[in-house]
Amino acid sequence: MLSPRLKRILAISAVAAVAGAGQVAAKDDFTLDDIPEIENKEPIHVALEAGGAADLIIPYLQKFSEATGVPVTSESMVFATIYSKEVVELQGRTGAYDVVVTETSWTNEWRDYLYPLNELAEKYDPEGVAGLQAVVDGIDPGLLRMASTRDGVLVGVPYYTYTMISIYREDLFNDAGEQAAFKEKYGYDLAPAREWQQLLDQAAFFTRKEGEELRGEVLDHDFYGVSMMAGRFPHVQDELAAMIWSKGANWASPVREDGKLVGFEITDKDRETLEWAFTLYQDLMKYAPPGSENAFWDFATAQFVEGNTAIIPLMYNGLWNWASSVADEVPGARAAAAPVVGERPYTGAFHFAPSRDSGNPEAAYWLLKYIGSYATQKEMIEGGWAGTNADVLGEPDKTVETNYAAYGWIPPTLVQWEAQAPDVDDYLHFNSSAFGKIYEQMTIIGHENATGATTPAESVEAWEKAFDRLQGKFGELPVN
Amino acid sequence: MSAAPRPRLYENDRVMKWLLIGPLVFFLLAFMVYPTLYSLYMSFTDYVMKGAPGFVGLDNYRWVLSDEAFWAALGRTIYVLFWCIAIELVLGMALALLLNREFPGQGIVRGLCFIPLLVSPLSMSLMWNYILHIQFGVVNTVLGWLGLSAVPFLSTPSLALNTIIFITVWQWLPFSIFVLLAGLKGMPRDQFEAAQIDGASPIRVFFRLTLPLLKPLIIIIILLRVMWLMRLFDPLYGTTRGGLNTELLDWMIYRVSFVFFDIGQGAAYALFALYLTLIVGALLFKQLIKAMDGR
Repeated sequence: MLSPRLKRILAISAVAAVAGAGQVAAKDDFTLDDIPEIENKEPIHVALEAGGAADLIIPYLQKFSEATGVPVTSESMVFATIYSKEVVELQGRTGAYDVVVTETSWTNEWRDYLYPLNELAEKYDPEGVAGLQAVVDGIDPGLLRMASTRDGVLVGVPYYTYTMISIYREDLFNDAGEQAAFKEKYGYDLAPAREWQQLLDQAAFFTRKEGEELRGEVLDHDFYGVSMMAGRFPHVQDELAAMIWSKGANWASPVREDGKLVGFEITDKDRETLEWAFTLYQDLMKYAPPGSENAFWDFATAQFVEGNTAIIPLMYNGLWNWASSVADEVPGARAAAAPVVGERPYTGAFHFAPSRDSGNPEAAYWLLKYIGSYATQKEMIEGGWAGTNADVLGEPDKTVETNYAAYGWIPPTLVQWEAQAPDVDDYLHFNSSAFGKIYEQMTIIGHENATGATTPAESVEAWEKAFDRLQGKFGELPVN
Repeated sequence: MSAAPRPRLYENDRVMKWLLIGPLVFFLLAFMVYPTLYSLYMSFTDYVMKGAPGFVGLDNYRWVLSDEAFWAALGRTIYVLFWCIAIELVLGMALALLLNREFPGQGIVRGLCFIPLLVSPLSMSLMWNYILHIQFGVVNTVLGWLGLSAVPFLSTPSLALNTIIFITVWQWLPFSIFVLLAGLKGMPRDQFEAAQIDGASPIRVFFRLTLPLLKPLIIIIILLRVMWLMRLFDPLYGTTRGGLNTELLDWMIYRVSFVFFDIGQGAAYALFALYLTLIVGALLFKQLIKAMDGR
């Protein structure tokens, strides 16, 4: 019997699939062969994040280079270093990078150093802005706003997304014994959580000691309800953001006059929701494995894959592939993905953006168009990574049934993108030009709250002080 | 009458002196004096990598003095500094005395003791992060086999800073061992033989003879370790990244300067740390001169 929630996901997936199928006809048909002769043969240098995503993008850079005759070199940096390095090179106007990879939350800070893509399209594309638009239309509009658009100006193309989804042990949720026990204890059916209280109930329910039973089998180790990422890494902020956004609140709300953004304000609702989110986080930590206080995504996913946790309530979709391998590690286990509670997850993406100080913006433009095109994105997504082209993601064959490990993350991601789209314009992350700095401070505050070093009330107070100072010092708009 | 031969360039003491010292002076001016003075200038500005620096007087220093995070980081740095130096000296001395004895395989043992110093500090911190991991680390796995509970070395505020101290000591203990061992090897034998003939106990010999003779080396170890520990950074990078109450002064300076790019503020923090190091360094240096003069 399908739960109403699951039915809804399937229905929306079906709609998305049909819509996607409809869009297939309208998709861009841009390929490497359509790139005209690039006059400027000066090499271009690309900044990348080190790790899986970089390794996957490098072959495409090589293909571009071979097809156009423009040498492409790249520099891979760990995530913690990219921001600092790119600030130096972009704000120092060194021209060291022709194309930079930026995280959604950094784009606003660097918009003055990035080329508006329409300018480049008009200059270099025989099809003009329409040629670029055909490629961009394939990308989810909400994602495009978050990652690459500032004040209505497009400054890059997102090519890889890390939208948070919820990953859970489907075998546990479907187990008749567990279902009955849960219903008896909490009075409602065991199903992917729709409310945070349900998540807390499930976290508590699945937390068991060695020797107790899980799925009718005696546990030979302690088992925990949830995997959390409470270390002093950006992820703790991402988890908190999903909680706050789910309540229709913000870390700080935009203040608009005649539709124009003129400042920010931490409203009473924001304040209450922040304190609630900090409290919820501390409550969830009671059901997370030891070590979560210093964890980021690898520890959280590893706990799940090793059979130590039942749910990762907030995990980046790119980790689905690994998380789903719990089926290989734990006999009888199977992972499933669902939208996060509230359907407003942190939606990150890496996007490629051309530097204003590039010595070869022409090649930079064509590289971006190539990477964002339908054909390239299709190849990438079918190769198992979290691409951004909604046309491809919505295709009828991109289902859990056709490829469990590669596509399991797609249905909840599409549901969330649709649900979240109307809200993203209000998120501080994509409006403050000081956000690179604010993000770091949120991380510290979130981590200290998670480890119990500060109370939720103290965390709110720390956030208000920090935001006031950082936005005042680094941002363009005032805090009211 | 023939004219006196002109002195060759290298025979002119004055020219030669400047020729030899010139590169060093240039290096010091370009890479030490200039950056320090520039940092000093920056510490009086509000420069944030955008626009031109604006003069803000002592505002950055006022902020430093009123910043609770700074004092907390300084307190932790002093805590780490004290315990690292204390453990390294006591343990280093014990091991140096042990290694000073003749025993089979002493060359191999000494070589093994040296290894931690050769490991890159960043790799070392990552390595310990995995070794001490509560869930997947080898130490806790072994503790589990012995029926003991897992220890959250790097995941609880009450232990994390002490674990950072352990990692630091592990890497730098050989430095103390080998400096002290070199001192022991170079000691005058006659004084020890005389003490032995007079019937002095080994403990008395150690406190009355060995320790005073090693005093200059001990001060050098303390001086260098104070300077290095004030800049302790790598053990945090691979483990807690300043979380779990482990943020030290240098990590804070890095965060403010190269994550927030609040250059003026970062310079004020850095110069404050430099002043502290200079004061402690000057006091220790005075003690070193005294000890070397046998006072």
